[in-house]
Amino acid sequence: MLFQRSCPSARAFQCPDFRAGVLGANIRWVVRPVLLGAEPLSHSSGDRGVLVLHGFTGSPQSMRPLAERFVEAGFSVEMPLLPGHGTDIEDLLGMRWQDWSKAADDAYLKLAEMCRVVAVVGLSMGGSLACRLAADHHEIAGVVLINPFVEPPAESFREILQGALAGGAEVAPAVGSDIAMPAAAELSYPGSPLAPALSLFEGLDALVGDLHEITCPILLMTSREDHVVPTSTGEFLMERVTVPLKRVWLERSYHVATLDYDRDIIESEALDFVLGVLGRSISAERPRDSSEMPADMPAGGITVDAVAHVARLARLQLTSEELQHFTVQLGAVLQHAAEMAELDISGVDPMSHPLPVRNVMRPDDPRPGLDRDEVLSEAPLAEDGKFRVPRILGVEL
Amino acid sequence: MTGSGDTSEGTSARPAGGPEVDRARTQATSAIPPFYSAPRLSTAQEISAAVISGEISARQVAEAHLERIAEVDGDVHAFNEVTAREALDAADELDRRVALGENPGPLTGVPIALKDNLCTRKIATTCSSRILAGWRPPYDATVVRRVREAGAVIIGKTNMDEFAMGSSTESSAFGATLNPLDRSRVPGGSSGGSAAAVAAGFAPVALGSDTGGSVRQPAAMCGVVGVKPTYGMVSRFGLIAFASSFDQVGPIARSVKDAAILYEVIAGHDEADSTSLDRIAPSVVSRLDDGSDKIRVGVVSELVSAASPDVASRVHEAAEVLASAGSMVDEISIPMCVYSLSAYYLLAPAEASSNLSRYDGVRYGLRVDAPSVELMNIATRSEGFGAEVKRRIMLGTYALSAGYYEAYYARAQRVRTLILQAFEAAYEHFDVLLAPTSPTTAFAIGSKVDDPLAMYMSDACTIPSNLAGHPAASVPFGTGDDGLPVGVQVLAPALAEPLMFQVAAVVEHGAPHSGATVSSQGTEQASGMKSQVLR
Amino acid sequence: MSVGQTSSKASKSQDASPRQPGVPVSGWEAVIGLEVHCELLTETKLFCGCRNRFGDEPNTSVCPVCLGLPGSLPVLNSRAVELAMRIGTALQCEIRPSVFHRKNYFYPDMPKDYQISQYDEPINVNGRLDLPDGTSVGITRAHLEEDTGKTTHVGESGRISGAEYSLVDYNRAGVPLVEIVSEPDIRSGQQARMYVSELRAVLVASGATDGRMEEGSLRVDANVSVRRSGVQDLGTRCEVKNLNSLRSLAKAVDFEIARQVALIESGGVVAQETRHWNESASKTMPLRSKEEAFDYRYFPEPDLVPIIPGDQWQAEAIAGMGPMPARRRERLVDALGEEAAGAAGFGSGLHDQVVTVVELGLDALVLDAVQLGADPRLTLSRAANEVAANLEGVARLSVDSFERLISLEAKGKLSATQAKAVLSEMLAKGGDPTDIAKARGFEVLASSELAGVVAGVVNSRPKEWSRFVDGDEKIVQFFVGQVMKETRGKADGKAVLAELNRLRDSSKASPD
Repeated sequence: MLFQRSCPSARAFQCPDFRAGVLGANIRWVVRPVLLGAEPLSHSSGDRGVLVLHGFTGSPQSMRPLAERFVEAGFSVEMPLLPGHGTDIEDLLGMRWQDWSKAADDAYLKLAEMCRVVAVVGLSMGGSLACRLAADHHEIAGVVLINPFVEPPAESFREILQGALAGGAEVAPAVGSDIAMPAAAELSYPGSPLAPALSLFEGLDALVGDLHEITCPILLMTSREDHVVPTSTGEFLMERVTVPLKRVWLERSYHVATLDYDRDIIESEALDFVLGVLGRSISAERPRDSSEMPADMPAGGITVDAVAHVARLARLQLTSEELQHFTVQLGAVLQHAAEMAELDISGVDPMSHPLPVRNVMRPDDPRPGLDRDEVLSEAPLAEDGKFRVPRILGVEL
Repeated sequence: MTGSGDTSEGTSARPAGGPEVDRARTQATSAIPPFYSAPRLSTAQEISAAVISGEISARQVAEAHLERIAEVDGDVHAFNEVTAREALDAADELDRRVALGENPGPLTGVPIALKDNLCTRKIATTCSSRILAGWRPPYDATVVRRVREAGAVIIGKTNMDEFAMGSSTESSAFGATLNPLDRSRVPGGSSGGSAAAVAAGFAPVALGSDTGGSVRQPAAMCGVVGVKPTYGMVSRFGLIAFASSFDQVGPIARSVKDAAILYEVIAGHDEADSTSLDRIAPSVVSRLDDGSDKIRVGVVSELVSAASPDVASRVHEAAEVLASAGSMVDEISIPMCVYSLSAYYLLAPAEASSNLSRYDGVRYGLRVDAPSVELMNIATRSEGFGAEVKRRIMLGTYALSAGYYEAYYARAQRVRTLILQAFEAAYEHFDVLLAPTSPTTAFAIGSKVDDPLAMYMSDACTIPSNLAGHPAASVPFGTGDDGLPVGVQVLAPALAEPLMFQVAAVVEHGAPHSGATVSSQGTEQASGMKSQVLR
Repeated sequence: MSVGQTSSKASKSQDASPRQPGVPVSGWEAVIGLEVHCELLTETKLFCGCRNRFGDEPNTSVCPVCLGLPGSLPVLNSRAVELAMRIGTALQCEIRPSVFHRKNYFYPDMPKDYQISQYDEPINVNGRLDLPDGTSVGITRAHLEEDTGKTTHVGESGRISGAEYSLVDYNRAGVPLVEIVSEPDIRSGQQARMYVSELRAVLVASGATDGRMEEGSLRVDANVSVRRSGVQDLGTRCEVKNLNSLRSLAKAVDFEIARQVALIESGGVVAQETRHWNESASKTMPLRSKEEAFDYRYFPEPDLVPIIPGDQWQAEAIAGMGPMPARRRERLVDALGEEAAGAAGFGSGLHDQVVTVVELGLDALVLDAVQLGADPRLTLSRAANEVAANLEGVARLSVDSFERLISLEAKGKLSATQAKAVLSEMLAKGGDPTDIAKARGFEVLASSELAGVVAGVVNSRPKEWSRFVDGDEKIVQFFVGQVMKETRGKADGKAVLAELNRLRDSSKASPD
């Protein structure tokens, strides 16, 4: 959660609850209990992974409903608790961009070890980290950004913070729980530590120059009204990336949109997008000979859309229940089949036949055929010695 | 479903899908009654000899088996249709010929049960699918013609997994077949009806088809012998295709010898099948007494470790039997085996997706009407195919579709090559290989229907032979911890059926007499009791 | 689906009336590739022993294999492979080991709902067809595949769109086809027509087919696109179907070119689609696009094994195959002699005669007659006209008697009119040219006699004569006709003309 941009200078930088002068080196290793609801999530299930990243001063709580949707959909999910978060604001004071970035990187590498394809989802600073990962790891299949923090704040604003810091303040007033829906709340710290925030800005400075390095598709979801990051953040990002980007506007939510009115939209859009990029990522989205891929074997996922398409090809109609069912079951079989990617098949001929037999033919001699009446007696409908069928191309699917 | 209805009076409570079977019943009571009331002759060899010598008429044999079916099949559901009239007519004709001094052939008067994916002229051939219910083919499959010509009497068409897609006979559109040894268990599949029919004493021999283990696995689970020949050894003409480059018709019997006799009848070149090998079928019966001295036997460790401990123990015991018969037994590791399932479950569905396109409601079988041909195709196929068939069609269509062909289908084809090469390399050091047939004994009905992957795993030990196109035989060898039969598999290189049968006979001879099979009770009684042929 | 959207959005302008077809559009180039399906002249179908015959009662030439009944399996017809190799040889292709694939799509006229065809390993590749105008068109491939059944649509219109239901006859299902795919080397409707005409001649000459377009033995689809002159990239192409004759092929291609140019020039976009040539409306119309039309899921046909055409088998297959039309035309031109050959360029009357004679298989007759001493140009002319008009009579015409007839005419023993009359009797009844001429009392008038007849005619028609003298050239035919009438055809036309001109010139020179 970041500072309100509306009138930052109007806020007083004082926070009586916290002592001044307690720096990170002292408290980094203090083990505090993680707040109820802020626990990280780690779920291992198959070859397709989703990394979920929460925001500054927030916690996995804000992302949990979304992460659980990914778990339900059969993905392996990692949702780390970023350093300094989810316990006590004091723990955050000593943390810097490098710490969160490393934590995100570690979580990604852990997931990538079990999974063949990974997508990254982030809210706010989680979005900054997601961009960082995607710029650094080109094998990431897709990125979902929800009100991401990518545009570095103006120098003048930083000077104000630095001034406050120099004046002995450590923490700015809280901006967490920026949610339109009355009953909802974010589990976040009651303030925003200054030094970590300034380090975050520096992280963004470096990120901006690397945004063009991102090679995977992006789903960008931004609220119309956001009291934490400027609503221009979407345009800022779109000007700097070169990959396919889908923009979704969240009409009724504020910054923590994952817990807000548009939560369902976010979940279904994110799930569709992730199913799309993880299901198709290797064979359809990328060239087959891509040197980044160890092999041309898809990760073994299959999307609902792909299953529906296949059903049309095979002239089968599936109920929506069957569609879901088959997606999971075919996914499981395909994931199992993905083990074949381990094998080196270069130079191996495909075997379409167990026998090395050639040139089996018959002479051009007529043989008696079948009696027409016997043939047509098995036909569902016949007329004038022919098989009768309903009109062709009469009705579009 | 006609025939089996005739035979199941008073037992109409047969559960449609099988899973509702009363599992509380003890094994002893859930097994069907033993074969006491059935004909005392239980092997094809004995029946044929007795009919030809005039000791017994073919009609008597047929009637006795029909009676047995009428008594018990209501509890087993091995048959989709019992062809009583045709069987009796055929038996009378055989008796007439025998009376004239003819010898109709090695299966004279022997009742045979045919899997319902073998085309029988004017007799319904359904693949246990709604989409083909009631379809009467205008022609006989080549193997059907051959068994007829050898004097066999077709007694009925047996239940199967729909289009042979399954390992438990539960995906039949007409209800599951129950294991005659324990009706809370599956008989295996997809030739579960044929295996159950032989185990239950409905026929001494049967034909099944084996695409990924569908003859051997149910044979193992029902305690009978099942053989998959070398690909191309037996004609596929008239076998309704599941996966064309894997399918082979194979015998199911109560003894290795009967299986060998039936094998010799059905094997051999057929010009109607381009993939049929142009060579004379080898003599295998003559090799059955040759023993296994000096034969190099490799026990495939990957396949043994895929099995449960009790099954694995039986394989090791079978290996000891061979060792004490003079074979040189050793363990061999074929790591490539583990990729068999993955390759198979892409390749076979891919071929199936194309093979099953023709069921479109235009020319035969089910049609569900609709305003246009496209919608009619969709309505017919959606209504006519069951879930497992749809699943495999979808899987195969996906594996072949644009953008995925190289990654899935073509890769699996290359892995198939690697698996073949791995087995060929193994056969440089060994004459035959030994493995379990099924990783477990017969599992409970309903236990795997919702988990395709788990169901597919039960083919793990049989699939490698189908990928390689090699022959393999499953021989009953003792029982598992649950008292149900275990099958041990003898794998051999292409065209090495004589050696395979030879070794299988040694394994059979050394198998513990557990009494686990319904049929073995009959077999034991049958030996040396020719005078008591019938009541 | 996007395809549907595109076509419906563009449909109004897609059918916009194009500029006049057949007129080359300056600034544009058309790129045309043709796919020709050729039914092979085998006794039986490609994969079963059912008869390959046109016109049987519906569904009487069927068996489990060609009906796609469950359990049936294909077995390849060796003769079909041999005919495919003949076609490959005739089209100068590389003949290679081949594999059959399955092309999967649903259609009720296809019994298995897949077609057995050759995909990435066809039997013939990289060939060439030389056209009479001296250009040549590349042949990408010529592969074997099975035909589909025939569907008739029952309903008011008798066409697919308005049908109430359809009826299917599978007699044609499984008939062997070779599909010949050209490179996109063709540039106009006229050239497309020439290509198919020449291809048909080649296919017939190879013995692979009867080439009857009206019975569907030869079926043509055209892929047409246009691009601005000088542009390398290909435009979006449309496939045009239902081209049942050479005439409709040329018209349809020209229409399609004009349509696409007009569409693009008016700011539209050509949609990739299949279009149907409507003969009565003389235009191409879009066929409704099939939703999943483009994913055929080709894979190797597991029920068949690869075909390896060994050298010996190839040699046996093409044994007895004569030279192809292009080579035969060359021979004919060579036989005309050096001077005439120079005048036999494409587009000349002489070239047309050469093409006709080869097309009709009369080149051997001409060459043999010339060999015996007949005048080459006269022989060619009589063969391309009189003999061509009575092909059934060729059997009655011996080379020897044909040579003697030509020689009678060449030596002036018979006038052209007389020679034609004698030849037509020889074709109708047989016989010796000298005997026929004698029986008909044919002899060429002596020049002195001719001069008298001409003078008589001129004197009896003073009014017409003065017009001729005054320069009315057209009226000369009137005088020739009158002389012919007087002499009952015995006069030689050229001699009459010469005499008339001489008289005119002399009457001008000395005005009496």
